Amino acid sequence: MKKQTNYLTSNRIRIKKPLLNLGLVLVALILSTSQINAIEGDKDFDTKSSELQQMTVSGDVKDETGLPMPGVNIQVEGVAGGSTTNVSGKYSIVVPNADAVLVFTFIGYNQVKEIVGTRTIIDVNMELNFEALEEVVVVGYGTQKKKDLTSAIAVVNPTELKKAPVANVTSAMIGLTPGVEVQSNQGTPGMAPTVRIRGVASTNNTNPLYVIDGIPNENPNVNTNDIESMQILKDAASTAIYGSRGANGVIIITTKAGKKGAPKVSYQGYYGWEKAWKLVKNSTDISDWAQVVYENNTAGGTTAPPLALDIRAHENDGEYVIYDPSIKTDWMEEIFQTGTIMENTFDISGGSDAGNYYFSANQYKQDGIMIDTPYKRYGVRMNSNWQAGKFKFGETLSFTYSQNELEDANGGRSNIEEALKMTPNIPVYNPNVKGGYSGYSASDMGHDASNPVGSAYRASNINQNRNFALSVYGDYQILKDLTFRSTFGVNNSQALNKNFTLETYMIPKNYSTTTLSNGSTTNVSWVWENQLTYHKIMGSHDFTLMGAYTSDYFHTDNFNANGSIIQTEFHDVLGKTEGNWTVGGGESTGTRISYLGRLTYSFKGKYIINANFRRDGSSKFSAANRWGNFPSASVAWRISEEPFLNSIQQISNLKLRLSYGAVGNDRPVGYYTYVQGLNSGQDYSYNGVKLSGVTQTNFSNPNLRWEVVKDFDFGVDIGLFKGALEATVDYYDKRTEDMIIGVPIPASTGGGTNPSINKNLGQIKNSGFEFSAIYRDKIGDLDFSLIGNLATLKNEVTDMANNPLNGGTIESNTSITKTEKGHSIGEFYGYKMLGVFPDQASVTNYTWTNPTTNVTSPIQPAAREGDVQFADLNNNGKIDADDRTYIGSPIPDLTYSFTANLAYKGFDLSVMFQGVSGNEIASELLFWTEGMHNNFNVGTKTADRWTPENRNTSIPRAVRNDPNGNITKFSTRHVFDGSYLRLKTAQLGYTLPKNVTDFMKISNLRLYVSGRNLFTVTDYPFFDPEIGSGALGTAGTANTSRGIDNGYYPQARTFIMGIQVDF
Amino acid sequence: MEEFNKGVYDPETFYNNETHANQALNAAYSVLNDFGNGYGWTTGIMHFVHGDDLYQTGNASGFNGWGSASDLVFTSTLSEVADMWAGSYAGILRSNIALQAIPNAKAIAVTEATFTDADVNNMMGQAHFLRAYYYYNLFQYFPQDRIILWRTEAKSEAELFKAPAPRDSILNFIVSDLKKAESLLTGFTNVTAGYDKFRASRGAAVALLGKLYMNEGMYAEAAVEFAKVLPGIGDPDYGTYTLLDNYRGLFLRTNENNAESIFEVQFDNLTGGAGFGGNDVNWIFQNFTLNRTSWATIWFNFAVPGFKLNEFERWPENIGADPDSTVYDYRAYATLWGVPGGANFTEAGTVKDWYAQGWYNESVIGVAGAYGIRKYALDNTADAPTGLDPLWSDNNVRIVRLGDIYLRYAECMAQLNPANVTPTDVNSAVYWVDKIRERANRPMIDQVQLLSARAGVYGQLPTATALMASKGWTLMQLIEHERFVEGFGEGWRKEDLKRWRKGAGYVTGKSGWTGWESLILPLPQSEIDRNPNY
Repeated sequence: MKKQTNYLTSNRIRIKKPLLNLGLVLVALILSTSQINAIEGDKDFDTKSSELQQMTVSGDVKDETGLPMPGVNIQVEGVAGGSTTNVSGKYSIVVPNADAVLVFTFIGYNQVKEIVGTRTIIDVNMELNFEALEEVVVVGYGTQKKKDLTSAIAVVNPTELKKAPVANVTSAMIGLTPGVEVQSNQGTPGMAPTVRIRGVASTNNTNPLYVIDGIPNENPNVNTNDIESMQILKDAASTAIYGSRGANGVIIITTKAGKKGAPKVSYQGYYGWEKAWKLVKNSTDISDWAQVVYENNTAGGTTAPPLALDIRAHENDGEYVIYDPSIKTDWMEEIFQTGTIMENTFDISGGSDAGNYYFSANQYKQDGIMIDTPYKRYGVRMNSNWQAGKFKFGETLSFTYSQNELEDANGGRSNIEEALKMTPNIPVYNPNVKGGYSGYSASDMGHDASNPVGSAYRASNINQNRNFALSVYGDYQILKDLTFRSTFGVNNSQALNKNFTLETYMIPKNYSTTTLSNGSTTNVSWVWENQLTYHKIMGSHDFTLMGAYTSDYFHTDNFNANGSIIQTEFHDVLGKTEGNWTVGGGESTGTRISYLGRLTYSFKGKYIINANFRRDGSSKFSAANRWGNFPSASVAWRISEEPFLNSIQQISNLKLRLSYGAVGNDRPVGYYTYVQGLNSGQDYSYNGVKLSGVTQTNFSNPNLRWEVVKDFDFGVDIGLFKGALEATVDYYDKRTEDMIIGVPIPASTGGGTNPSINKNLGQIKNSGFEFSAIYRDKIGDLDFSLIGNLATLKNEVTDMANNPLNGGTIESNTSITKTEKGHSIGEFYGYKMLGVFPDQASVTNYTWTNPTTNVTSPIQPAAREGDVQFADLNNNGKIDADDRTYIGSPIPDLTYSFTANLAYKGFDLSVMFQGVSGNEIASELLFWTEGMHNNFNVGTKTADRWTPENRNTSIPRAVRNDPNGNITKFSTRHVFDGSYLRLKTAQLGYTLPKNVTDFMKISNLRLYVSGRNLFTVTDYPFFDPEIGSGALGTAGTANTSRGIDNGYYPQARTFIMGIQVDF
Repeated sequence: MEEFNKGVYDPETFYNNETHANQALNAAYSVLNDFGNGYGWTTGIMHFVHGDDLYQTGNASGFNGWGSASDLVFTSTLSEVADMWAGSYAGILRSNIALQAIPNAKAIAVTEATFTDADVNNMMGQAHFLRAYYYYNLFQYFPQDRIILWRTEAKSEAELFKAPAPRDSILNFIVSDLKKAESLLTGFTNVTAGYDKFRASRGAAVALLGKLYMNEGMYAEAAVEFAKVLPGIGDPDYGTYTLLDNYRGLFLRTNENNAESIFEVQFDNLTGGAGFGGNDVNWIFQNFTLNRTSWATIWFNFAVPGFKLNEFERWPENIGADPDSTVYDYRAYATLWGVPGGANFTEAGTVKDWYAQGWYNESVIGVAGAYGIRKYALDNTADAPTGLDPLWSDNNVRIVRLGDIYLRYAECMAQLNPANVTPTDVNSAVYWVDKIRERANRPMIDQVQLLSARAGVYGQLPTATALMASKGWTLMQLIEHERFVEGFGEGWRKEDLKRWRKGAGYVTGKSGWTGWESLILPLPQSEIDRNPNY
C-alpha cells in the first residue's frame, strides 16, 4: 500500500524535474512505472475487495494558486461514473473500499491519484500540466523540449497516423500538419504519395529527407504501428543540421521502445472493403456510339466503319446484322472491383532496469479497387535498449517485404483509358482464341482500343521490395555533462521487377509471343555518426553544445534481363525463355563526409538561441565544389515567462520564434554528373558486323554544386486557458537559389539536337502562412479535442535563366505545362476556349482587322459551326501557338484539415475533413469522354454535343481528325477546378469496460469501425481530384507535370472493422 | 571522396589501344546511320526530298516538318533544319574526338605490335574525311558564312558559344582535311573486297574534294581530283572503280559497296529488326519506296509527279502482241514504280499491280498521277533478309558513286573545253556521257514484264552527240538531262540546281521554290536563340 503511494508521488515529482537530453528514455520510464502500478493495483483489488465496505469521501480541490477549482472530475479508478467539484471546489464521492483510488482530472492540469485508505476527507491541490510543453521533441542529433524550440518543427501524433488504413506512413500523413502537402500520386495499392514540405522548392526532386531512428534515408520504410514519434522539420533553422540534404524538409521518425515491466502483448487488426467512390462511364449503348461515329466520319470527309453504318441502317427495325444487341459490356464495371483490405500487427514489449525491448510483426494485404492490382506487405521489427553503468546501447532492426502488381499500362495507356474507349458491343471473353479474351476485328471499328480485362490478366508487372535496416548505437557518459554517442546504421534494399506477357490473340493488343523481363536493383548504404554532447545548467543558464562527425556510403547496382517464348504460362522464369535475350546493368557509388555542430542556449527558459552549422562534402561534386557550409540560427522569446505576463492566467504559453538558415539539396545531382564521360553504344556497321563506338556525346559541367534554400521563418506559439487551446502560426519565406537547370547550349557544339548543360542558375520562392490549433476540453463525461490546420502557399519562379521548362503530356500535347519566371512551377499552358460557334455566321463574324491594311479577315477560317472558338490572345488574326497562355496551376493556394476527436465513456469518435483549394487539374480523360474525333466509344455528355438541332452548347461537334483542334488543342476546356473537401477519415470505437476486460483476463480491448474518403465535395467531373504526377504506375517526383490526370488509378473509399487488444 | 563512374569511360584514359582508337573512329561514323540525325531518318529526308525529285503526297503534311521540307519551305523553326545542323556538328565533335584519340592511343600502346603506323594513318585519314564530310554538308545546306569551326571539341563553358568563322576558313578547312585524308589513306583505296570497301577511302576523299571544288566553280581543280578515280585516266592508287553493267543492280541491298560505289552510308540489320528508331536499319526508304510488310499497308509520304517521267527518253517497240508500245530509257524502269510496262512489286509470290492499287492516282501537287521510287526498294517481299520486316530496310545509302563522277567530270570538261565534242576524247564531255548512256542501254535484271517479252534486247538511247543534234542541245543541256535521268531519286539535284543557279520558273509544284537560293536552309532559330554570338 505504502509502496504504491510512493510510486504515485514519485511519478508527479519526476515530471516537475527538468528533463535532460535523454528525455525520451525518461518519458518511457514514467510511462512504464504507471504500467507497473496498474498491474500491481489490480492484483490487490482482486484479493481484498470482498473484505471491505463502501464509504463516502469528500474534500476540497484547489488550483496551483490555492483558489477553489470548480468542475474537476473525480472518478474511482476502474469504476464507471463519478463526480465533479461544485463552484466552491468541493466534492463528494462514494468509494467501494479503502483500496479504491480516486482520480482527479481537469483539462490542462496534471492528473492526481489518491488512494483512499482510511481517509474520508481528501483535499487535493491540482498542478498545472506542463506536460505538453515538457514534451520532448527529436530535433536531429538530439532532442529538445517543445517549449524550448526555436524553429518550425511539427509533431505528428502517431495515434492520428494509425487511423488511416493505408499501406504507407506518408499516405497516413495527409492533413495532419500544415505546410506538409501529401499528394496521392495514384490510388494504386502500395504506391507512396508525393510529400512536399512548404511548397515546391525546385523543378528537380524535392522529396523530403526521412530520418528513421537517426539514420537518414530516402524512403520512409517503416510500419505505422511501430512509430513512437514523428517530427517534421520545416524551416532551415531545423533542417540545416542535415546540410546538403535538408532543403526539402526532414521527417524524423522514431520507432517504439519497450517499457519497463513484464512483457506486454498486444494485437491490432482490421479487415474491410474498398471500392471506387465514383466511376465515370462512357455509353453502354452502341447506337450512341454509332451515331457519333457516323457524324464524326461524315463531317471529316471519310466513311464511317461498317458497324456504325449497319447499326444506323437497322436502328429502327431492331435488327443489327453485325452487332449482337444482347452484349452490353460495361467496361468500367469490368475493370473495377470491391477489394478487401486487412492488416494484422502483433507486438511484444517490456523491460527491466537493465533495458527494454520491442518486437513487432505486421502483415498488410490489399486487393485494390481495380482488377489484378494486389499488394501485400510483411514486416518485422526488433528494437532494444540496454544500460550498463555509464554505457547505454541498443539497436533497431527491421525487415520489410512487399509485393505489388501494377495495372497494365502498356504503351502508356491506363486501363481507365482503354475501358473508356472500348465499345459495349465487345464481350469480355472469347474462349475460341488464344488467351480467351475478345478484341475487335480491325475493320469493324477502325480503332485500337484493347480489352483492358485481357491486358490485366494476360500481362503482369510485379514488383517486390525487400528492405533490411539495422542501426546500433552506443552512448558513453564521459562526464556528468558530457556524453558521447556513436551510431552505425546500415540499409540494404532490393527491388525486383518482373514483367510477364503471355501470348494472346486480342486485336489490337496482340501479344505475339510470351515475353519475360526481370530486373533487380540493390541498394546498400551505411551511415556512421559520432557525436559529443555537452549539456550544462548553471543557474539561469542552460546550454547544450553538440558536435558530430558523420560519414556515409551508398552503393546501388542493377541488372535486367529479357527473353521471350516460354512454352507454358507456369514457367515464367528466364531459364525457360527461348530467345531474344537482352541484358543490362550498372552500378553507382556515393560517399559523404560531414562535420556538424550546434549550440543551444537558454536563459531562464525565456530567451533561447539555437545555432547550427554543418559542413558537407559529397562525392557527387568535383573537388572544387565538393564542400558546402550550411549555417542557421534561430531565436525564441517565451514572453509568457516574463513577469508582466505572469498575472494573466489565461496565457499559459506565448512564444515568438525567428529563424534563418541555408540548406542544400543534392538530390537533383546524379552520382557523377560533374564527370565528363565517353559513352558507348555509338556503333557503326561493317558488312553486317556491329563495330563498337565510344565517344563524347554531351557536355557536363564540372562546376555543378547543390541547390541552396535560404529560409526565413517567423512563428508564434500560443497556449491559452491552461493549455486547453494551443495554437501555432508561422510565416515563412523560402528562397531557392542555385537551382539546377539544364541551360541550352548551341547544337553546334555537337551535343545533339537539343543539348544542354546543367547549371546552378534558377531561383524559386515559396512563401506562406501555416496555422494549426488544438482545443481540448471536457464536458461531463465527454472528452473532446478539435484540431485545425491550414496553410497557404505562394510559389513563384523568380529566375529560370530565360529558359522556360516544359512538361506534362496529354495525348499528343507533349508540353502542357510551362515553368517560367513570374509563374509557379508547372503551370498549365494552353489555348483559351471562348465557346462553341453556334452557327456558321458566328464563324464568319469572328474576325480580325489588320491595323495597318485595315483588311478584315476571319480568325478561324477553317472552323465550321459547332467547332470551338479560341481566343486570339496575341491579336494577330489567327490561332497559333503564340495564343497559348497560363490557364491554371496544379499547386493549391490553400490546404487545410479539420479534425474532431470525441470520447464519451467507452466510446470514441474521430473525424477528419481534409481539403485543398485554388488548384487546377488538367484532364486527359476528356479526350476519351468528349473527344469525338475518332471511332472510340463516347461519353454520355456527348449527347449534348453541337448538332444543327442543338446549337447552344459548350460541347463541340463530332468531327473526324479534329481539324479545328476542338479536343486536340490543349485549352481551358481540359482544365478543371481541382479543389475538394473530403471526409478523409471517420472512426468510431468502443473500449470495453474494465470489469469486462478483467473478466476476459485482458487489460484492454477496443473495437472500432472506420472509413476513409467517405464523401468528397468537388467540381472535378472525373474519377478523383486527388491526383499526383508521374507516369502510370510510378510515384511521381516530376514537379513540372503535376496535376495532370492521365487516367490514374483513383483513390478508394474504404470501410474497415478493427480490433485492438492489449493482453 | 572521389568515386569512380562505371557508367561512362574517362576521356583522359580510355583511348589507350588500337581497339579503343577504332571505337573513337566508329563513333565518328555512327552519326551517319544514327536514327535521330543520320541518313536513316532526318538527314535522309533532307538528302532525298531536298531537291525536285520527290514531292509530298499529302500524307507527309502533318508529319514532323516533312511536308514543309519537301515543299522547300524551310523556316528557322523547322525541326528538320535543326536536325541537319545538329547532326552535322555531332559528327564533327566525334571526328574531333577521334582525331585526338587515335594518336593518343598509339602513343600509349607503343608495345602493341599489330597497331602499326599504317593503321594510325588509315584511321586518321578516315577521321579527317569524316570531319570534312560533315562540314561539306553544312557548307552545302547552310549559309556558308554562319558555320562554326571546331578544330577540337569545346574545352570550356565559354567555348560552347563560339562565333561563326569566315566562309573561306571553312572552305579551306574542308580542303585541308580532304587533302590530309588523301595523303594518309594511301593504302585505303576502296577495292572490291575487304574492310576499306565499307569505309571512307582515298577515292572518296578526292571525289568529295572534286565535288567541293566544282560547287565552287573551280572546274579545273575539280577535274584533277575526279580524274584520279576515273577508269582509264585514273590512278590505281586511288582505287579501281568501274561502272556496273547493270544499272538496277547498283541499288540492290544485295549489291552494296559495289565496284561503282565510292562512298556509302552503311546500314545493317544487326539487332534482328529492333523496333522503330533503331540505328541499324534505314527508316527513310519506307516513305517513298515499297519497303513494307504487305502491299495493303503501303503508303507514300513522298512520290514522283507523273510529268517527271517526261524527261526520260522513249521509243516505240513491238512487244509481243502489243505493237508500238512505248519503251522508256531503261533507267526509268529501274528508278520508278508505275512506269507503264515497268516492273511490279511481288508480295508473297503475287505480283501487285501499281495501277490497280490506285497509287498512280495518289494526288501529288494536286495532279493525279504519281510514281514511287524503285531505287533502293525490294522488288519482292521474299528478298527481305530472314527475319527482317521489309520496312526495316537495311539497304545502304549511296552517297558518291562513279556514275555521278563520270557526269561531274563531263560537266567540268564541258566548262573547260566547251568546243570539244569528240566522242573518243577523254577531255570531251560527250566521251563520259556516252559511257553512261552505253551502260543504260544494257538489259537490267528484275524488269519483270519487260524482260519476259524482250529478253536480250538492248536499249535504243542514241549517243550523246546524236541526242544533242536531234534536240539542238548544248553540252550543258545534255549534261543536265543526263544527270537528271541517271541520278533521279538519289539526292543529286540539290547541288545541281544550286550549281546551275536555276531560277524561279525552273521547278514547279514546290511552293517554297523561288530559285536556287531557296535550297539554302536558314540557321535554326534555336541556335540563334542559344548562341549570343549569332
